[in-house]
Amino acid sequence: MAELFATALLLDIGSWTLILLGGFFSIVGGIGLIRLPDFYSRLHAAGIADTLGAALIISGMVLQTHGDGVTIRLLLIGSFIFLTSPTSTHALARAALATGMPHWRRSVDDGIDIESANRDDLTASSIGDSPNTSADV
Amino acid sequence: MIRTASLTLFLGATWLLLSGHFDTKMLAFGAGSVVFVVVLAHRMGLVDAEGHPVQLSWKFPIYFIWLAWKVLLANLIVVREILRRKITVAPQLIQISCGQADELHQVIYANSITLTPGTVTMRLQDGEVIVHALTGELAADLQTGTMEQRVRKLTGEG
Repeated sequence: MAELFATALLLDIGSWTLILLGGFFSIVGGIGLIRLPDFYSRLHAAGIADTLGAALIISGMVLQTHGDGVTIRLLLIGSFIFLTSPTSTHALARAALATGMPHWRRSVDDGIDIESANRDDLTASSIGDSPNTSADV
Repeated sequence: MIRTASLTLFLGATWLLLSGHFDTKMLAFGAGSVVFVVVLAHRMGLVDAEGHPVQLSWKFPIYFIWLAWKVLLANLIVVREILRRKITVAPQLIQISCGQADELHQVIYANSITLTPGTVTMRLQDGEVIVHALTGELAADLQTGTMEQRVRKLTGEG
């Protein structure tokens, strides 16, 4: 009986530690969203909540389950977040780049001519192919 | 053929794990929906090396654990940058070449970069990746090419 109690207590401590840590990292991600200087940098802050925050909170919740269907569902949710969050982050970054979202004025000058690469891209992928397809719509 | 079998097995296992029903009628419904999804996936041309990459097999969990470790380290760097009294980030774009890698390699690599906080893939075209990095440290780490080699090992080229 006492042993059972000790195990439950340990599980609770572990689970709370993980959930609180996850909460801490998610909050830091939120602070980063406000403090960082431009759209592109803020994507990185959002990434903290997506990865470490979500992983820690879900692990903490897994410790509260009993190895049943709920555990499996939580692990599945975790893996879906890991598979989908880079896709949406990339879509945001790409859209920002394509619409000419300005970079922070103190960004490092990297010599990459993103403007011209972008123009090529627009002509090649969307504008070039559109005359035929737009008629169908 | 192996891919179809693996997909069927995978879907069946997922159904069993998530449904929790084991009477004959429900099992028959489950089997029916698995077959339906496999047929649909075939018609959509999704059961190939890209859509259902069984060839990665046991190498994928190993890569995933390594990636999780990298993600943790990168998180700590970004947290440190955010909590500095004065923001001193140096956002920059870097261009990295994947050489002649196949598409699965490029996609796994680009997504791994984006999943790691502090680096986001902005463009992937003709084997060239353009990455937005939050600091010089993160950019330099990416340019060492360790992650690229890991992905290369995973997809089994060279």
